Amino acid sequence: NPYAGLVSHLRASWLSGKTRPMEYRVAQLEALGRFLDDKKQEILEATELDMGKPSFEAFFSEILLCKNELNVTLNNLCHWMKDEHVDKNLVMQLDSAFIRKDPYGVVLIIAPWNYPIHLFLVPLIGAIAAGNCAIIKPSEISKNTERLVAETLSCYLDRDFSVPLQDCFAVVTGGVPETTRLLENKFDYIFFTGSPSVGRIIMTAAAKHLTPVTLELGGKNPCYVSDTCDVTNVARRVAWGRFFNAGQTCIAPDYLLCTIEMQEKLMPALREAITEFFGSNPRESPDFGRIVSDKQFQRLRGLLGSGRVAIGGQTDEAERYIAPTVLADVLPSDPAMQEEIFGPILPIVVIANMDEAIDFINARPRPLALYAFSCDSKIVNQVLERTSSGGFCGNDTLMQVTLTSLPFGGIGNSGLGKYHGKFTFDTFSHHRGCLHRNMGLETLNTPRYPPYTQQKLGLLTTTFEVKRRGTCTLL
Amino acid sequence: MERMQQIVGRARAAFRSGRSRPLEFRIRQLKALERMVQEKEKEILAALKADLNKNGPDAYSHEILGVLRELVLAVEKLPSWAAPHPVKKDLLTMRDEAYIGYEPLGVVLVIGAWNYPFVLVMQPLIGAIAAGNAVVVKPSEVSENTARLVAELLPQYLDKDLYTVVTGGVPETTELLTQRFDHILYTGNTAVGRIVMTAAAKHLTPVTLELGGKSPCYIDKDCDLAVACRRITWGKYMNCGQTCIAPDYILCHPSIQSKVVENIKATLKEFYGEDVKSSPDYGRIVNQRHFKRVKSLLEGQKIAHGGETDEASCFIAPTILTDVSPESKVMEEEIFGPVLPIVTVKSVEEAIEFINLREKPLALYVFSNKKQLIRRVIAETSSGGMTANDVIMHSVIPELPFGGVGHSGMGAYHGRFSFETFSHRRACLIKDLRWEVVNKLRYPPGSMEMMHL
Repeated sequence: NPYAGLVSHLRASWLSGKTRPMEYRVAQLEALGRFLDDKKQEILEATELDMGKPSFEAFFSEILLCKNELNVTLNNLCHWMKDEHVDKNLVMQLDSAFIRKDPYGVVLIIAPWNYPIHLFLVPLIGAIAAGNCAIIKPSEISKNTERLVAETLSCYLDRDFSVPLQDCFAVVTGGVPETTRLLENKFDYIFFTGSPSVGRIIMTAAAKHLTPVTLELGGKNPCYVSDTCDVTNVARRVAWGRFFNAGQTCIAPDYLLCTIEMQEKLMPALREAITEFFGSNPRESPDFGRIVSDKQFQRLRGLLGSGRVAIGGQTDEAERYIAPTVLADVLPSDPAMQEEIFGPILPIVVIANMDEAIDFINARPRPLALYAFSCDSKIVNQVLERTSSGGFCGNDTLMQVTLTSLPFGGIGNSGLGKYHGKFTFDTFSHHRGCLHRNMGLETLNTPRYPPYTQQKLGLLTTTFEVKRRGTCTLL
Repeated sequence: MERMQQIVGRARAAFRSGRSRPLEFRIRQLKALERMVQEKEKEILAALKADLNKNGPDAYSHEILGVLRELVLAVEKLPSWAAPHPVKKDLLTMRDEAYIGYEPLGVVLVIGAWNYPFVLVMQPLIGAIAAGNAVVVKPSEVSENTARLVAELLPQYLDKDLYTVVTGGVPETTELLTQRFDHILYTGNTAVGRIVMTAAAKHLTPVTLELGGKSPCYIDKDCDLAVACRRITWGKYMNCGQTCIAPDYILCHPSIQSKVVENIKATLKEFYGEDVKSSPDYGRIVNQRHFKRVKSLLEGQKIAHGGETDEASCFIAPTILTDVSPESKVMEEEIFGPVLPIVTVKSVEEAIEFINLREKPLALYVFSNKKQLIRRVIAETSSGGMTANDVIMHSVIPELPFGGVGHSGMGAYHGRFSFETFSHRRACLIKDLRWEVVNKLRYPPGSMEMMHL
């Protein structure tokens, strides 16, 4: 077990209690802020090398959103850490009942390649805020970012110069074999972002040690566009969400559902939006990304045969460039509708009406995100109420995850658990029910002790019952 | 396989019909459950007596009172629990609607245990119904009379397709676990907990596992020993020690060990009289297998009190062991019986170290007059839940989450935590199709000026 030493080293640090005091947690979080400030340029460069991530996008998702999470956490940590006192019944008025937030211990964070800083850093913020030690396993596919994290993160975290070794946090690099070996160890929590198939493997490995997990997975996020809508704005918002990071976003609108009339109206609007965003030749735009690997590129190119290419379709293997593409008249049986696309391709599936769209969505695994566009708020609400998904956004895409007060997570195949803001802190804390009783007033306890009698039972019932509130009659 | 597929399929079709979603429907079901508990009280108490030799007032207070309380709470609070929860918005979302919606998960599975066979299926069932799900209930086959009764009664009071009871043992449960559920709540032991989670992983099903372990009980020299020992005696020997949050073993200074034994002996006489075996308030071990298991823990131990057994009636007297070695068998596994080992420690530091070297327990107890010491024990240990200066009682407060950590489990329920366990919290952001000018800030082409905004 090649990682046993590392894990037991972190566990020893955990048992020393080092990561628990608020001052320690605040110091680590502030250090993460400095990491983002100092290494901003390196992060923009590494993600550009990894997937041609435009600087503007990288700044938004890898720096800005992460700093927001840091600030929300630093602003509220004191409050989140406090014991939550709860209501008590009559008999316990002199007692103290509260929920204590205990750290779990040594946690494992496994991050994917598409937002390689954000998707380990935001969970790490919560893990540290909750008082844990952590092992971070960045993705080997975004190898420049992986190297940056492995080489520089340790310079910021746990800088106790009197202790030569990094002992509360560690970065482990490698691919599938290394992750498999790492998972042989016992962790107190595992946070995984990636595909559903790997999610199953992670949860099965976690089950051996009864380790609780959060799995942020994926799926095909449907985007319904009703006949009553402002086509120009819809096209912009959908195009933005679809083509951000060249489509490699777990919450991107995966496919569009609309009537044949709407498809016809949308097409010129989408074409216009794409031109507005990326110019007449997106390949030359500094604001459009590339596909992360040859394997992904080949996979995506294979999807272009679905339906007919209405916009884009151009590819360049050497650059791993796929143009912002819209496919029209795509059939449910087409390749583009069999898997999560995770690329700059937007298939349009034609349906007759909203009911058909809802049935189409509900016949498929529950997605991470669901989008509905309409000028009629009743339609947006109907789609919301009659479907199920991790999260939902009406009349826009992606934005539901930028609000730190909303939980971010999937359901069914798209995942379990949630995070962002306080939800990350709660994810990495054990909520411990605590009751601190008075040693006196022992006579109040008499009804519960044997010998059991009906009279004692009557007393118990009176003191412990939750009485239904009576209806108030004015007459 | 087919039978389980059919059962789950029927529940899923019933869920898809949408009829469990309106709050009025859920409240009707909960009120029907309340009627069931009130009308069938005699039958329920008879089943509990047959399974565990629990007598009337004992069984009522431990199994029925809690269920009725939970039902009243759920009916009253459901509208507020289920209401969409608006969240704080930021500059970009100021004009939008942002809230968390509580939605049912779908078809959930509740697997009960035999030691409190009625309440351990009913309490999760209440939360699952309140949250709008279809529910498959699998009571423990070890408490067969209660299982049979639950299977008979639920269809008489509740929607038959939405809420089903499956009876049977290991083969039936294994088959059931191959089906896809949207949440599984399992109460039982650690070994089976692993099996349940592994089966759930195949379908990416979230789980709540209410397991067990050895719940330590530290008695400080500075405390009212008489009161402490009375409370401990009550929690340890109720249900003949077969309680997942019973104080499993005692840690105390050697100088008070004999006083602890004396106090517990005195309390036992107070509770059960001179002849425990003939007290109607003292239970029995649930079956021969567990009887033999608990009896074998006494081998080689110093028995300070009790130790008598009677295989024919699965009777084991309330027993106290002194000067127990940490390496002995009785200190290895959860006792789940009326045997109370005392392990001596020289200080609270030693007690904390002892506790932390072991798996995290479901419950932890500390008795002391010193607030500082209690705070220290809480801060330096971890456990599912805990009570200071008493035992068991943290589990009767519905506002406290009840669950384990580490080997003692994951997730929690009781009160609103049951509702949340069986709900999906869906993030909802509803924007306007107008006000596009605000969005222009985020669209390409990007520029350095935009980045500094």
